[in-house]
Amino acid sequence: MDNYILSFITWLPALGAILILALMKKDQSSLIKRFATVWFGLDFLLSLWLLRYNRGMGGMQFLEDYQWIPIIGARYQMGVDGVAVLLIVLTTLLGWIASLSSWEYIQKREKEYYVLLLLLQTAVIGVFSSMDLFLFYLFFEVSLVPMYFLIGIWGGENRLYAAIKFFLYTLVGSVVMLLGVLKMYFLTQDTALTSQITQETVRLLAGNDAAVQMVTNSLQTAVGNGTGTFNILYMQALGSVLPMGTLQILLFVAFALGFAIKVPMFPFHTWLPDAHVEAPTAGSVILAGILLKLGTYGFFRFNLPMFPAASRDQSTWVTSFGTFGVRSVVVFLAIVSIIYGALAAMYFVVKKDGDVKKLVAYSSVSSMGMVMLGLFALNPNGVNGGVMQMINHGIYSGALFLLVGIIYERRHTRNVAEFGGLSHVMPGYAALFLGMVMTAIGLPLLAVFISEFLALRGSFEANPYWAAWAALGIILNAGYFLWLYQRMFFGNIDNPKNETLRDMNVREWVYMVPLMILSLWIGVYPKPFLEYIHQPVNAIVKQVRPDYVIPGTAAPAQTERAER
Amino acid sequence: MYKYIWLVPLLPLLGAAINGLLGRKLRFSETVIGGIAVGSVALAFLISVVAVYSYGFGSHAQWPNPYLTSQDGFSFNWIPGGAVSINQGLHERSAVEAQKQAAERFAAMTPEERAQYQGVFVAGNTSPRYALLNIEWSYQLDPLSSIFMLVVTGVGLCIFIFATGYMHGETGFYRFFAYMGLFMFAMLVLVMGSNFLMMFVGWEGVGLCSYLLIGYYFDRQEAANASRKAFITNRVGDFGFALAIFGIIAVFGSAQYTEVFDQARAFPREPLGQWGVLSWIALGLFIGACGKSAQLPLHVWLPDAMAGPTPVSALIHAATMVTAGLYMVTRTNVIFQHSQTMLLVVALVGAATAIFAATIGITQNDIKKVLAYSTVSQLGFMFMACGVGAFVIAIFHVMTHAFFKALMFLGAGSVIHGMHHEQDMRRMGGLKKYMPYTYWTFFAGWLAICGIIPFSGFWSKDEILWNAASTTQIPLGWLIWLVGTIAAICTAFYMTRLMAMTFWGRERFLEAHAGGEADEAHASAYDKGLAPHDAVHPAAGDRPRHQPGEHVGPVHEDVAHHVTTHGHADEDHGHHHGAHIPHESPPSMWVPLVVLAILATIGGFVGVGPAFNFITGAEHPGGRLNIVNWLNPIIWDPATGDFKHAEGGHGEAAESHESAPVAASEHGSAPISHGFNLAHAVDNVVHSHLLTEWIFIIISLIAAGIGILLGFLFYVWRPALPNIWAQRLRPLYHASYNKYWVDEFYGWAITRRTMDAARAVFTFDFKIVDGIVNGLATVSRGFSRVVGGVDKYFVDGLVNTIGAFIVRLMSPLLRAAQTGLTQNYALVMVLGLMIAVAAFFARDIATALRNMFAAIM
Repeated sequence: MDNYILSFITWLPALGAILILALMKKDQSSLIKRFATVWFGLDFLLSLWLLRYNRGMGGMQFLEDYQWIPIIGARYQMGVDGVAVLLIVLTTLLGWIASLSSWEYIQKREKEYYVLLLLLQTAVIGVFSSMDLFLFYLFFEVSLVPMYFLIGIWGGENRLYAAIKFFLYTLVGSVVMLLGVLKMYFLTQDTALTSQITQETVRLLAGNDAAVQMVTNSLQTAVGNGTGTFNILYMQALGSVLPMGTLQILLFVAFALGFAIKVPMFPFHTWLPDAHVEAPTAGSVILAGILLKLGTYGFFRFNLPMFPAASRDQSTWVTSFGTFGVRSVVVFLAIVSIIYGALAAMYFVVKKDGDVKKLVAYSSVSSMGMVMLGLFALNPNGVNGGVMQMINHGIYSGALFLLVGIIYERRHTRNVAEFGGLSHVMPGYAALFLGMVMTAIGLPLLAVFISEFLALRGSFEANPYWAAWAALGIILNAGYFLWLYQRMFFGNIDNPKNETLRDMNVREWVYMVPLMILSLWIGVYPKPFLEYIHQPVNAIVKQVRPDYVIPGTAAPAQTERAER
Repeated sequence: MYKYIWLVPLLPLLGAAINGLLGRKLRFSETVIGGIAVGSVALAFLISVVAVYSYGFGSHAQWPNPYLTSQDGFSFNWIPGGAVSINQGLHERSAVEAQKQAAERFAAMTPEERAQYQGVFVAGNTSPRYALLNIEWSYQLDPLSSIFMLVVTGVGLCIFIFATGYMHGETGFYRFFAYMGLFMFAMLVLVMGSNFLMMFVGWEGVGLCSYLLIGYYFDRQEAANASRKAFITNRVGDFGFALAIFGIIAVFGSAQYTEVFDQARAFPREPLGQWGVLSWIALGLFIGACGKSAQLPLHVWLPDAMAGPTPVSALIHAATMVTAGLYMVTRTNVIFQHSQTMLLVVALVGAATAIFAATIGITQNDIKKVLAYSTVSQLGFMFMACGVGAFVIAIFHVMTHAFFKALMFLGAGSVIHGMHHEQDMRRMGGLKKYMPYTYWTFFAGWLAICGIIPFSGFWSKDEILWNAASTTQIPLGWLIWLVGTIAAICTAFYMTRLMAMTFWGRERFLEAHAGGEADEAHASAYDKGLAPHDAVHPAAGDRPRHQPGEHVGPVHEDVAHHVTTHGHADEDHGHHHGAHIPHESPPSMWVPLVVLAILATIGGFVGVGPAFNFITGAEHPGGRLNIVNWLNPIIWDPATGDFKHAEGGHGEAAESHESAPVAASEHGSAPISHGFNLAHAVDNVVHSHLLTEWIFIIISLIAAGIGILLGFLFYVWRPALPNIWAQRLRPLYHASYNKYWVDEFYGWAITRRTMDAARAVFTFDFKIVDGIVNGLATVSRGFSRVVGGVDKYFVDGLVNTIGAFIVRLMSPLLRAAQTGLTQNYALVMVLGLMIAVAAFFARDIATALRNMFAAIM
C-alpha cells in the first residue's frame, strides 16, 4: 500500500471526473453532486493513510519511482515529507468541504463544475507529492486551468476580468520559473559541480535510506542515458555546492517570482482580491486554502534548500541605507505584506459598504506574509511556524470564505452595510463566525496562535525588529476583524431583509464543524501536527544554515540542556 | 492534596461549556444555569482553599518551593517548537559566568592568596547556544499563585452568586454565565500557569471574555464600541508582552518560570539609564501590564468597559482581570528589579496614573464611572508599590482592593438595580433609608478605600506610602510618596462625595427633573439623536436589553405585587423617569455584599505591618500567616542577589553573600539610590525607626481624614460649594470632567490616522499597484495586436491553426468564458516567453539536443 498510495490519492479525483463525464448526464445534477462529494470524501479518507508517515524517521516517504520520459531524464517520482502530508490531508479535507458547500451555491452546469473541481484536486495533490521537478511543474501549471474556468464560468459579475488576470498573472510567474527549472536541469549535468556533492548532504535532505536510494537510482539512470535529472532532492543537494553569485541569485529570483505571485506577496498580490471576489465560494476556499500554499510550499521545498546561499544572503548590495541581500528583500516584502494587507483589509470596514470577501482576501495577504516571514527567519521555530501557518491559514480563511458564502446564499450580497445585528437571528452562525474571527486574530488555544507565536518567535531570533514590525500587523488584524464582527453581528437589525434569515442548516454545520474542531485541536494540542514537520524543517534549516546547532540531532559540546 | 489543583481551572470551564453549548438547546432554567455556574466556581474555591492550606500548612507542605503539576504527571508538552538559538543577552550571560568562575577560583585560593589578590577575573563565553523550546502545559502552585487562586475563586464566587440575582430575567442568562465561567478558566490559567506562554493564554483569554462580557448587551452601540476598544487597547499591550516573551526565550532559552528566574537572578543589575536586555524585557512586560491594568497611557478602555453588566465590572474590571498586570510584574520581579530604570518607570507611571485617575474621579457623575476611575487610581497605587520595590505590598493591596472594590461595585450594582437602572448620582441621594444592607456594606468599603484604621485598605495603602518614602531602590521616592499622599486625599474625597450623593442627603429621585447638568446632558443626548431611552441616561450605562413592556430585573418585594406576569408594562420600570421608590435587593445580592464587607473590614489583618510588631519593629508579625512573609520567598532581593529567604531574615543567603570578587564587569554591583530619601531624613531627626514608621502612618491617616472632611464639607455641610468651586476652577473642572480629553486625542491621533492609512493603502493598491498590472496588460494587448497583425501576413497559419485547435478542443467550456481576443494575446505572451527561454539557454539547449541526438543515434 505504501508504494502506490500517493498515486492513488492523486489520481482518484481525476478518475472521479472521468466517471462523471462518462456515466452521468448533464441533468442528473443531484446525482452528480452527491457522487462528487462522496468521491471527495473517499479521497480524504484515503489520504488519512498518509498520517502513518513515520515521524521519527522523517525524510521522504511513500516513495514511487517509475520511468517516464527517459530522453530528458524526467521520471514519475512521488514522495512526501511531513509538511506535504499535512498539506495533502488539508487539501483533501477542503476539497470535500468545497464540494459539499457547492450543493446550493452552484445552480448551473453542475457537471462541468464538479469535473473541474475534481481535476483541480488531482493537480494540487500532484504538486505536493511530486519528487520530480518536471512532474511538479506540470501539476503546478495544470492547476491553473480548472481554477481559471471555475472563476470564469461560475464567478460573479466581473468574472472574466478576474479569471484572465488570475491566469495570466500566475502564468507569467511560472514561465519565469520555467527558466530556472531548465537551468537547474542543465546544472545537474555539470560534473564540475555535481562531483562536490557529498553523501551527507543527500542524506540530510532525503532523511532516510529509501529516499537516498531513490536519488542514487535516478542519478545512475540519468548518467546512463546521458541526461540530467529532475529529481528534487538531487537538485537541493546541488544547491549546497552552488557557488554564491549572480547565477544563484538569478535562479533564486526566477523561482521566487513564480512562487511570490502565487503566495501572493506584495506587490504581486492584486490578482488575489479580484479572483476571490469573483470566484464562487468553493473556488475561494480552494484558492485561499490550497492554491496560495503552492507558493509558500514552493519556497519551502525549492528556494530555501536549492539556493541556501542566496536564501541567507543579507549583504550582497551595499547601499547608503546599509547592506542588504536577497533575504532582506524577501523579509522586507513579507513584513510589508503583513502590514499592508492588514491596512488594505481594514479599508473594507472603514468604508461604509465594504465587501466582506475582499476583506478576507486582503487579510490572506497579511497572513501569508507571516508564513514568508517565518520561513525566512531560517531557524526551526520560524520555519515550523511558517509551515503551521500554511495549515492554519487554510483552515481559517477557508472557513471564513465558507461563512461568507453561507450569508451570500441567503442574502445575495456581501456588503457589510447590508448586515448588522445578525446575532439576533443567526446565533449559531454568529458563534461560528466569532470562533473563526478569533482564530484569525490569533487568540491562544486556537490554531493561528501557535503558528504566529512560532513564526514571530523565530523572526525575533533572526532580528527583533522584524518581529516588532510584524506584530504591529497583528494589532491591526484584531482591529478590523473585530470591527467587521461588530458591524455584522452586533447592534439591532435595522435591515428588514435580515429579519427572516434562517440559521445554519445541517449540511452547513457538517462542513463547518470539522474546521472549528481542527482549529481548537491545533490550538490546544499542536504536538501531533508539529511532530510531522519537525524533521523536514530541521533538515531544511540545516541545509540553509549548516552552522545551526539543533540539540538532540547532532549534539556537539556546545548544546545546552534541553527542557523537560 | 494540592496535586488536584489542575481541577481548579477546569471546573469553571466545564460549567461554562455545559451552559454555553447546551443552555440554549435544552432551555435550561435560570436555576439550573446558575446552579451549574455557581457550583463549579464554589467547588473550585473549595479545592483552592484545601490545596493552599495543604501547600502551606499541611503535612506535606511544600511552601515556599513552587509545586508544579508536572511533578505528579499532570502536564503535557503543549508547543514543541523546535530548536532555538540563545542569541540575546550574551554579554550579560558571560558576565554571570565570569562571576561564577571568579567565585570558584576565589574559593579555591588559600587565605593568603585571597588577601593578596587585587585584580579581577576575566572569563565568559559570548557565542550563542542552543536549546530546545518545549512549552509545557502545567500548573504551578507557589506563594504568589496561591494568593491569586484564593482571591479569584473566592471573590469570584461572591460575584457569581450576586449575578444570579442581578441578571435574573435576562434573555441571555445562559450566555452570561458561559462567558463568566470561561473568564474564570482564563483567569485561573493566567495565575496558575507555570510559564509565560500560559500566562499569555490566560492574558488573551480574559481579554476575550472581557470583550464578550462588555459587549454582552450587543445591540447597544456603546457597549459594542467599548468592547472593541477594550480588546484593541489590550492588544497594544499584548504587543509589548509578546515581544517580551520572545526576548525571554532568546535570552534564557525557556519560558518556564522556574528556569527563567533561576538564570535571571544571577544576571548583573542594570543601573539607572542603562538599557540591557533585562530592561528591554521589563519594558515589554510593563507595556503589557499597562494595557491589562489600565495604566497611563493605555487606561482609556477601562472606564468605557463599564458598559458591561455590573457583576462583570466587579469581577473583571475591579477584582481580578485588571490586577493581572500586577501579577505579571510581581511574578517577574526578578527581571524588574534588575533594571533600576524600569523600576523608576513603573513607579512614575503608577504615581501619575494614581493622581490622574483620582482627579477625574472627583467630577464624574455616573456611579460606575467614579468607581472605574477609582479602580484605575488604585491600580496606580499598586504599580507605585512595585516600582519602589515593594512587590509584596502591591499584591497585598491587590487583595484588599479586590475585597473592597468588588464590594463597592456590587453595592453600586445593587443601587442601580434598586434605582431601576439609574446610574446618575445626581438623581440619587438618601438611599440609606431604603437600602440598609447595601448602605452599611458600602459604608465598610468606603472606610476601607479611604484607608481608615483598621479597615483593610488602611494596611495596604499605608505600607505602599511608607515603602515609597523609604525606598532605596530608586531615586525620587519622596516624590512618589507625595503624589501618592495627594492621590489618597483625592480618593477619600471622591469616595465621600459618592457616599454623600448616593446614600445621604436629599432624596433627589423624588424630583421629576433633577435640573442642572443632568438635564443638560439629557438635552444634549436628544441633540445627538439618541433614542429617548438613551437620553434619559446620558452616561454609558448598565441596562439590560429589553423590549418595552417586558419585565426586567428580579422580582422584588415592592414591585412583585404588581408585576405578576411577564409582559405587563409597568410604568415605573426604568423607561420613564418619574418618581419611583428604590428598594432593597434580594438576598442573593445582599448576602455576597455582607461577605465582602466582612472581608473588606478584617481582610487587612493578614498583612499587619512591622510598625505594629511592638517587639522587634522590624518584621511583619504572624510568620507565614502574614501575607508579606508568605510571599517574600518569590521576591528577589537585590541586597543578596538571590530570592528572599523564607520566614524573614536573610539566613542562608547571607552566608553566600561574603567572598567573591567582582568580575570584569562594569555593572556587577547592586545600584542603590543615594538621592534624597524622605524616610531616612525623618529617621535622622527622630532617631527611631519605629517612630518614623508611626509618623508616616499618622500622616496617611491625616490625609484620609482631610479627604473625608473635605467631602463632608462640600457635599454634606455646604452643598452649594461644589458649584462655586467648579466655577472658580472652571478650566480644571472641565479638564477633569472631560477626562483630560485623552479619548478625543487618541481618536484623532490614532484611530482616525489608522483609518486614513487604510484608505491610503487601498487607494495606492487600487490605483498604483493594480494600475501597473492593468497598464501592463493594456500595453501587451496593444503589442499583441501589432504582433498579431504582423503574424497575419507572415506566420498566418501557425497562430490561427493553433488557436483554432485549442478553441475547438475546449469550445464547450470556452464559449462561456472566453473572448477570442484575450486568447490570442495570452498565446502571444507565452510564445514570446518561450523565445526568451530559448535565447537565454541557447547553448544549454544546443548541448541537450546534441546529447539527445547522440542518445537516439
